[in-house]
Amino acid sequence: MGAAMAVPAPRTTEKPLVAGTTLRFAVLIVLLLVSSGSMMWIVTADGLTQVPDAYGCLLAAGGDPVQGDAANAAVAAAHNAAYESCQASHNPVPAWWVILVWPLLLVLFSSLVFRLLPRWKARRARLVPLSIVDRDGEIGGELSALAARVGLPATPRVLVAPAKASTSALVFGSNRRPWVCLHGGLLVQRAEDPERFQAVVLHEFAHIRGGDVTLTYVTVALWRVFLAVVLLPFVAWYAANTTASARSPYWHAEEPGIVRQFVFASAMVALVYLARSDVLRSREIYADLAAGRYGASRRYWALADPQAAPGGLARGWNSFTEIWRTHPRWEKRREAFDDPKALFTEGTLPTFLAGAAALLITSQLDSYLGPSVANSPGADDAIALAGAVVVAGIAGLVRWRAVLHALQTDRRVTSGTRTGLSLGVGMTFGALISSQVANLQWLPTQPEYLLLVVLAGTAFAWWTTQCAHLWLSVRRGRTVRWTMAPVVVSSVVVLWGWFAWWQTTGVSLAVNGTGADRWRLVLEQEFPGPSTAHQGILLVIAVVWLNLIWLNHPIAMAALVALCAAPLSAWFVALTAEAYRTVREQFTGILVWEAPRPPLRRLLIAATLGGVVGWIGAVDAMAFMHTWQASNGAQSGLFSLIYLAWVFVGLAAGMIVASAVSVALGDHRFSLVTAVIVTEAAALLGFAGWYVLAAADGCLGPLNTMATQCEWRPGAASGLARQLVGPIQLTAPGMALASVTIAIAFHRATSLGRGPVTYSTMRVTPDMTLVRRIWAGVVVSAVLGAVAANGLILAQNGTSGSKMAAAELGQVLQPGSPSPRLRTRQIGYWYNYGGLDIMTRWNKDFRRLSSALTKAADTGTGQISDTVFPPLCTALLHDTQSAKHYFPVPEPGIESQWASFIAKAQEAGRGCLNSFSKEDGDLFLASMKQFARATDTLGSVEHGINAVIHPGKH
Amino acid sequence: MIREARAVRMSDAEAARTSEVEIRVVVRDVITALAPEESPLLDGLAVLDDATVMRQLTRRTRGEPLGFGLGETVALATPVIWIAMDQAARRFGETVTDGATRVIAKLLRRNLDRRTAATVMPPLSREQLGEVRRLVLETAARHRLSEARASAIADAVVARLALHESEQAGTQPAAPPGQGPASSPETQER
Repeated sequence: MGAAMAVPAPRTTEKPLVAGTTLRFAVLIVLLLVSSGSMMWIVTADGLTQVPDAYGCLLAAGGDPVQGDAANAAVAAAHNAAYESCQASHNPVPAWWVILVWPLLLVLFSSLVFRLLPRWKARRARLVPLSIVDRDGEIGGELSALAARVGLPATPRVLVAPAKASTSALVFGSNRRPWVCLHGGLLVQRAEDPERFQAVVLHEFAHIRGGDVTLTYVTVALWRVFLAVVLLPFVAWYAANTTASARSPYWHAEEPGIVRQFVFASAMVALVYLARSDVLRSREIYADLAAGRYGASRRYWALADPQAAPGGLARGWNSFTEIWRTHPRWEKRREAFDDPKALFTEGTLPTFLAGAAALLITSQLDSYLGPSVANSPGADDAIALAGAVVVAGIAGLVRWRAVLHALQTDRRVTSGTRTGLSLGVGMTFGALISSQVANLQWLPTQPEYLLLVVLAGTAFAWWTTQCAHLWLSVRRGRTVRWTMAPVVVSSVVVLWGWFAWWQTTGVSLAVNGTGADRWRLVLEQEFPGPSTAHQGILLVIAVVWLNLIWLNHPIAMAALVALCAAPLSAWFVALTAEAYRTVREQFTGILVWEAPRPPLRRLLIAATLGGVVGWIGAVDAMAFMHTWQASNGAQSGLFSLIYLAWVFVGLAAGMIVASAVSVALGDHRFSLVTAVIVTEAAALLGFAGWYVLAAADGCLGPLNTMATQCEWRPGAASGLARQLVGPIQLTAPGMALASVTIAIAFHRATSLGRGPVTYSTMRVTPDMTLVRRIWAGVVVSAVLGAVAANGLILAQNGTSGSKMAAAELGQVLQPGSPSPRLRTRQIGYWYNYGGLDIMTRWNKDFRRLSSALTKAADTGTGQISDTVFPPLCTALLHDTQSAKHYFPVPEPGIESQWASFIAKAQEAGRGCLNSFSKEDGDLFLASMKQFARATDTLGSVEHGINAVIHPGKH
Repeated sequence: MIREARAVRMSDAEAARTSEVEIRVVVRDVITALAPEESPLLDGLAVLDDATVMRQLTRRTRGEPLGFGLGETVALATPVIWIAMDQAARRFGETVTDGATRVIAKLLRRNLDRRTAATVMPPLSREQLGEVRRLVLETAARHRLSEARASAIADAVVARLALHESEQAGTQPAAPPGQGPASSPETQER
């Protein structure tokens, strides 16, 4: 490749598809609004509960703030209901309207500032009306003519800065009511050089025409109000709080969080400045080019900036300072007239900022909307969708524009690795500064999982680049917007899946780790059976499988379908003669015609090969399990789980083969998208082969696994298949990505695999006959249908793996031995946050029961009224339920007594109620004695607790 | 007696006022003669008070969003003359305010629209005129004016001031330093 075009490339214009700068402004505005809500919500919540009481519920549950996030998350999860109820009553969250009040205030004040800003600006710079300077009205007349040329509905209001010697001008206000300020130097030069005056004015008018004014000054107004109303109070609050926190016994746990808040505040300043300057730099070039179209002479861009480009350190410093400026270097602006490359290859800054903004928006929404909308369905998904739109809209568009420009100017299409890495690093940065993955510690418990974020960003950039390349190739010469729109929608869905996964499973992995040992223990408890010989496969299940259970989420299904559908449907498109690029062959110099996409045949070969290998792997798994079936003769829960795990391993082997063959044989331009399609197809093929065998289980002789009698059992096979299909489908793109990453890391993708298919003569007829089209349609529909159908089955029959894990987590948790001081605090909070209340209620109800008994005895009749006692017993039983649902006492000795109290009280309460239904007087008496014993035990508990929290009195 | 003394002081004050010149008048005269293309700018500056003009002339131009960009700066004579004259006026005399009414007016202005009194150049000696010339040349160099233009402006400024001196003294105009006879002893004393 790398050959020169025989046919001249069409001249590029700066507007073949949307610039995306408006979206970037919008993201900036959303980030400011969300941050205002989130930051002030945190301040309000912190104000409601002061340190150290903020950790009261955690301590009451037996946790210790200084142990870090994972340990405390496990403690909270182990006593989830009690913890939630404790938090609700002792750590109240701010009222729901607090969420809205700050964003609303921000909007209100900003609109005020936005309206006042032009007058304030004019007053501050002592601008004077043009009429004072332009007595004969000549300049005004010229400005009106220029405004008409640009197509402005009216001449803007013009002011003059008579003291400014520069030949510049400025526009502010709004798109509807713009104010233009002309500098004194420009006016003086006008007589001598009227073209310069026109060039500068046309540039300013182009800003108005391009709709830049309102967005720019809305951002300016929002930022100033945000600074005054949110950022400064936030920083001041934390600065004041730091001294209080420093005296807290949990300073060690508090410190990372507080420092992170300061880092977050500084990062917000930097991000907003960088994002705004970045968009404005693009807008400047658009305004330059528009001014050129309206007739501005380019030589005024050539005259400016006479300084020579520095080298070495100075250049580095200049690059650094440039990213903060609102205008690009003159050199760049001049270059853009000849080639608007700068608008298409925007470097890594926009994608870094997009990644950071997306993570900051989603994590902040998640943290501050979380408590309010936790139970409303779809809230998490809506938040994930917001992140997906930000990344797809900014980073996705950056790649589309880069690919389009490369194809239009016959440059090499870059892989998108830099864009992807910057996106991934941006997302990681956002996650780290927003306390999403670490709260009571500096870094997440498992920081290596953050690499997944970087990888996801990179994979997305590769995938988008290749989709863009594929679609722009097959639809060459047609409207770019319509080509791009469905693929961008698909990429939003793909990213939606990623954000939904990251917010739940991903963050949990980073905070808590895979917890492989805990999972394995859970598995053994859940599926009792002989398993000691299978520790290795249990680990595979624990690490891979159970973490993929998230796939039963409907968004995961949609994301998988979009991931395959976006590139695969390019094979539906009938190619026109224009789609074939004409290139001069590098060595022979002969003209050849290059196919826009690899033949579907190649993909099918790789998929079939992988499918067959996967199927053989599954057969191997069955044969292996058959030997175990023979030795144990039982198909316990664990047996079937291990069987499925081995089938998974077998099918995964097929996926590895499929992805490797696809990368090696496929077109390097589309290595990732073809590998994803091929691997997914291979996985489904192997899976289908295994399903047939599983349904025929019992008739397979040495392959019989779950059944011993020959019978066709599609139902039983489906039951197993449901467990397998999710992990299989999600693993396939992972395998494809791994193969492509390895290929790129070791060989560079360009030197690997084949190039595009070429023809020595032009194919005048389209290559898609009706038969081929039907064939392609069948294959594409089969793959997509299978992915979708399997996902649907899963979504309907989803397992509750995550819930099971949360419930079991606490049981397998091994608490360390806390210090006496910590123990005292834990018991103190346990007592004050609920224990004392339960004891008081019990004692009160028990006294009422005693007095009722005394009263009954005093009457001398010995009659036990069934209207007096059952309500009393119910009240005591109710107290017992409260005790049962509260935390266990964080002191093993006292806890055993507490548990004994609960057992006795339950027995007594039930006995009391039963005695009335059975009309059994003895049972009633026994229950009363048991109540008395329970009360004695509770007395011992109270004594024990008081001995710990008030040691001096005992 | 008191009334007489007051009358004497008032006539002194009148004498002092008649020998001064507002620097914006000097700037206007020199610009009209040497750089008429800058006259519209002076029209614009005329609506501002001297302190504001000085603040605006010496304020650094920042890059603003949606500006054309900080490119070329025109070497204007107006800021050079105004800044140099302002420095000279501060060095050689005070901004003259005329009596109690002016003090009150100044206070009112400061509080109402922050306008301050006009900066006035006091009568200058020959050496002081030389100093003014040096100041103009220095300022012109900072503003990247060519040497020839700088010296033309400096000469014009000094000539304008000297003309004023001679008009007030009723004698021959004082030649620029090094170019003619010494200025009047009256001026030198001051």
